[in-house]
Amino acid sequence: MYQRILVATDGSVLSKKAVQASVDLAKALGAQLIALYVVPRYPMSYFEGGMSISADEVARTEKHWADKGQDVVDAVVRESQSEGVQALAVVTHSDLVAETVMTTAKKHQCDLIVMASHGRKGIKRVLLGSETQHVLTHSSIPVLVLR
Amino acid sequence: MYKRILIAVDGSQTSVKALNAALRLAHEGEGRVRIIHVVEELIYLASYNEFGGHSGEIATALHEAGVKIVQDALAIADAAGVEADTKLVDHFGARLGESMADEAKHWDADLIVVGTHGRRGIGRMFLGSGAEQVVRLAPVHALVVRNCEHSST
Repeated sequence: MYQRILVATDGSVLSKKAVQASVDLAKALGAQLIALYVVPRYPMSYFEGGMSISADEVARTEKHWADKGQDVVDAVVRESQSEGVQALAVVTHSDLVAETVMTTAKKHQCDLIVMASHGRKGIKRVLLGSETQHVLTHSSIPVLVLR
Repeated sequence: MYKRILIAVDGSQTSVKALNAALRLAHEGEGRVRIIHVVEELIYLASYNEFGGHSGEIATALHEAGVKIVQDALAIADAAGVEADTKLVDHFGARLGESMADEAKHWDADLIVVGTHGRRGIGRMFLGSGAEQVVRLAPVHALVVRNCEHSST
């Protein structure tokens, strides 16, 4: 059935549940798992009067975010391996989360994308997260939405 | 693995693809599927499209078409050797998303499968309104399958 499953996570509670479900699914199907964390870029204002932040500071913050992301996906890989599922951790830097999810899925030749219905920015169960909605709209690969 | 899979069909090519995905998952997990078709008369009866103003026979025709759609889907499921049953939702004002959510709760489904576009799809750029409704209201996991034969993405 599905050979390679990409699971997008942001470390939120719901997405941890998505990770658990995708590990179970990968195990049942004998599939490989790609755990993806997309790290946002440091927001910058180019308008006059915007606070100027030193490049070092920005780099330090982005590094901090990337480390956190790496921790999240590494945890997924450990969890998968303890279940006997082959897994790969991927951390990418982009502000376009949905686009990155899709390009990473294609790059690693995944045949299924698993996402939580919403991540950090979710407010209500009935609402669909913006990034998940974007992936649903544009992905040519089947998408499994977990809640 | 998924044991009780609810699949929405509308007779379109995409929905057949979604059905096949559901059947494969059911086969892998030794689960069963319930095929559901929702007759949405409201869009015909309450709109200004070519059917606007008609009543009576159009509802009957839609019902009969719905029966055929679920029977065709059931034949595919039987051919795949997956345990399946069907349900035709046909009451005035039924909406796809709500009907699917209700059925998922009643039947205790653990997965909903739906195609991105049914009959009314206009392009691969957009998510069908029906599919979006289903995913938004789904009380359980939802698998969205796209018909990507012509898609390059």
